Amino acid sequence: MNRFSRWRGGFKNFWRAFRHNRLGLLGLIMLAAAIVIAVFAPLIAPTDPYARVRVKVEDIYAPPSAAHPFGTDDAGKDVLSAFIYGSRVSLIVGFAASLISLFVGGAVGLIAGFYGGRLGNFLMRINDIFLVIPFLPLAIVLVALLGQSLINIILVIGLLGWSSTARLVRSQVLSVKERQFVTRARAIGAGNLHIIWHHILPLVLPLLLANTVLIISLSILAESSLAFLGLGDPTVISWGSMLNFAFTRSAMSAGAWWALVLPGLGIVWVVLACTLLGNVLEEIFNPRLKAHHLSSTDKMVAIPNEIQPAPSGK
Amino acid sequence: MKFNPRRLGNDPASIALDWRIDNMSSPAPLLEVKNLSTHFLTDDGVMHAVEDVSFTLDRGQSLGLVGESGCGKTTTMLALMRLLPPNGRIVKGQVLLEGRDLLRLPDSEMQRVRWSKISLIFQGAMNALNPVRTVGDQIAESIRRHGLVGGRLDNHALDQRVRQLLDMVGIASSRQDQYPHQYSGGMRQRAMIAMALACTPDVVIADEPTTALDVMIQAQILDLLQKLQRELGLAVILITHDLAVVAEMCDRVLVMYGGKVAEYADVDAIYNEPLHPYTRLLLAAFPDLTQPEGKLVAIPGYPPRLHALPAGCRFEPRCPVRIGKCVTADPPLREVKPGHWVACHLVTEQLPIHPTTSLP
Amino acid sequence: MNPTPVLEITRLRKHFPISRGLLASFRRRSAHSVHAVDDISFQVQPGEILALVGESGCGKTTTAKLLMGLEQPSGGTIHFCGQDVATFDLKQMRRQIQMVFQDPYESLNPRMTVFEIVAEPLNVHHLARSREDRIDRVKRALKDAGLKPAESYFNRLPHELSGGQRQRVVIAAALVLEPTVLLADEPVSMLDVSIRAEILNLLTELRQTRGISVLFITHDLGTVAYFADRIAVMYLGRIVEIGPARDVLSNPQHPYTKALLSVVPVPNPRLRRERIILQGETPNPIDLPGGCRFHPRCPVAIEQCRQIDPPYVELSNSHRAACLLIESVL
Repeated sequence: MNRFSRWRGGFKNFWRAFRHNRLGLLGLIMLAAAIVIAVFAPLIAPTDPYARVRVKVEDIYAPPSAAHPFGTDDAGKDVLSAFIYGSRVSLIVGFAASLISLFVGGAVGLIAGFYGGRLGNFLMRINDIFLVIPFLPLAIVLVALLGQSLINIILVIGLLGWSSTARLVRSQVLSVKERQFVTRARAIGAGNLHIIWHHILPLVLPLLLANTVLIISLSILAESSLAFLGLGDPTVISWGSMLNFAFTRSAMSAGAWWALVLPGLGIVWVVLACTLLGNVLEEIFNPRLKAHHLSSTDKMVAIPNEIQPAPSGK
Repeated sequence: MKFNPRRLGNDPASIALDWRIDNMSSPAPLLEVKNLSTHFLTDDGVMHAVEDVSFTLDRGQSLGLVGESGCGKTTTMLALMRLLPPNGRIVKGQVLLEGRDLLRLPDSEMQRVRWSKISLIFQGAMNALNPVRTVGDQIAESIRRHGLVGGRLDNHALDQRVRQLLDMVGIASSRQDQYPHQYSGGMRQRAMIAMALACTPDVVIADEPTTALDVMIQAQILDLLQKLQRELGLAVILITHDLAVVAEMCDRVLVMYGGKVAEYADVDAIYNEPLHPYTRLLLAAFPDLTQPEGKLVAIPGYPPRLHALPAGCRFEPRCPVRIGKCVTADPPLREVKPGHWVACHLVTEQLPIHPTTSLP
Repeated sequence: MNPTPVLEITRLRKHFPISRGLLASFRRRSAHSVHAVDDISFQVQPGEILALVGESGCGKTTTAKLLMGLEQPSGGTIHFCGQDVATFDLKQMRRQIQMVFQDPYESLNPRMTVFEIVAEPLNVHHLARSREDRIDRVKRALKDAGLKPAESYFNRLPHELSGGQRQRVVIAAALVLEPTVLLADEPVSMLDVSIRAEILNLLTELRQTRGISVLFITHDLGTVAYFADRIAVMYLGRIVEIGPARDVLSNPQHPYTKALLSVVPVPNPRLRRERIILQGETPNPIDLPGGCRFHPRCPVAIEQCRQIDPPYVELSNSHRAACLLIESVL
């Protein structure tokens, strides 16, 4: 009974925050839509973009028509179907890579923050290195070395994206560590593991969750960039690879805007969704972000004779 | 009412705005607050934070505003200065400063009143100093912003004034170029007082000025406030929950409970002839070093939730001497003796206390 | 024959080394460490309430940490019921003494229910023999802390409780291990006045019901008068005066005690008394003055005070103070 009532209380706060931040709600809906499309791709897509087809010349870069609402690509295949199936790869890579970032970054941040000392310093210096080196050049080199497979892409993006998470987690761990209820737990005789499990983690995870959503958007963007540069897994269709083919096979000069616009919009859609959602989650979980009421510039000008009507609802 | 600005020379300390009030025959009180009421619009509904608060303050007088957390004392002061947060509304009342109603002034006029007529030392003021600017700089800025209407103020005069202020509060003027973190807690509080005095206000509101300070530093700060009050003729409103501090510092006392005035009287009357049951219980809950033999009394229950106020007296649920009428009717504030106001049915109607109940 | 004190501290010291820059450590040979607690000794008898009083920087918080095992002493000994703490392991020690903290809003993890908070010490020490046993112990602790009916509090979260209730939860969590000493660090200073008496009365009651001794740390002398059996006044890491509460309050011997008592505000507007307001602030424990630590601020210091560190002078009835100007009665 107690756990559910706690979650119910938590949900109430959740929805209240979304009520205040409509954009966040929008982001949530957008992301949900993208996930639904990816999951039900075989049911939604009109054709199977992986199937081999025989095409005629006029099928290549054919403009939108009844049969192909978004036209065809350079191989004469339906752009819409490719887009729908492509969402799978983009989202899978995005989620999987961010999962890796989450774990690595979370672990590093936790250890550095909680134990500190020389180990903590060492981990943070490594973190700095990863923060400083530009992502794309390093990713390109790594993929070139390791080979272009989906797993490798996921690994590379994941292992290069943990640094901001680590920093965030570390600072949160540092601040929670100093709070009086942790001191009290120590005074009771609790050991480090108990404190980490019962006190530190429950207060770090929400922040981590908010941060992860933003990391997801960055991972999707990263995958798209790599695929666009031709470094993606050649055996799968992703939005980035669609852009790559369209670009390298002169979609623009053929005037086939549909081959570029749809995947591009897809990327923008998901990244925007994650950003909006991530912002509202951060607002919920990071109370320090809320602006102080006295910082608002519109001061109250008193209008004493006008009794403000009480809002409805008690 | 005529408005007649007169500049008395370039010295910032002597620049004054003087407005003559037409019918000013008897010395009216410096500050008169009448039926001030404030609401907050929150997600949970309308919060009646302050209701019908009235009091007067003469020049050179000190008023203690006493009550526990959530009773509305800070909100009253913010409303007075028109510094409420965006979801606050002043729904009723008048705040007459030398006859002018501050609540009906345009914003620009109110800006001029703030700091040069009334200033406020916020609660937790010690942490309200900007850490990246020197203390002297911050004091100078408050002079520049609020103290002058027209006219140039050269840096030399400004510097002189800052030194003068620091000297008044007991900070060596050599420390004016230091940063807040180089000051101790007590010194930062003195700096805040200096800032509040920068534009020679007539009224200073100090919100919990000594909470979180050690008892010796507290004594120093209170001593300083008393000295400044005497030397500068300041009127002081001291907001605190500490009854002992009020007894030492104030001439009159306003006891608030649940957003309303419970009792308002001279300090002597409050401590030696308290009439409102809440006042009496509060006094009994407060330790007196000179009389350690008694037992400390606790007031059972909790302060009222300001969203869902009862129809009757707000103290009724915790009151040991409540009667039937207290549940249904909110007692009005009445002057039962000259200068002694109480909001309690039993007192205003001189009803007898039932023998089985008791008050300390 | 005096019973064994539940807590005995003998010449306890805690020095914190200061890390100075490389160059600075070559330049000056003075203080390498902060003497936060410097040679203090006292006893707490069974069922006694001892108040440790002093301003910030006097070392009372460090003393609390030493007693709780959150810091290790640099010297001196701590005995619980006659046994040297050095022979205990940390967990054993924490069952002898438990702490109640100052801030009821920060002492509780906002995501744990009251039951989980009070049961936590039992889980850490693996004390509960069964689920029923755990529930039983938690219930008893909550009851003793004045939260009745106990079961109704099990599933509440801290933000649903008032300040006074929260503090009671902290007390319950401290009681559940059945300690002999309760260390209360400013337990009521963040509570409303009308609630303070409740908590203080509760602590006094626990003396009766559970035979617990209380070490009460505060800077509020007003509360101490009502509540303590004995008072120890600390200044810059030393105990300058210690004795029965009545004696220390009515007949203070040390100039610092006298000054403190004279400035504590009293809710009596008719009282006129001479207030000894000391100038300046408590000096930084890094720069300790020579001789008596208090002499730079002392209103009655004489020449010898600058050179001699005053020993304790025994006054009547286990009341002693460290000042050169006191004449021994014995």
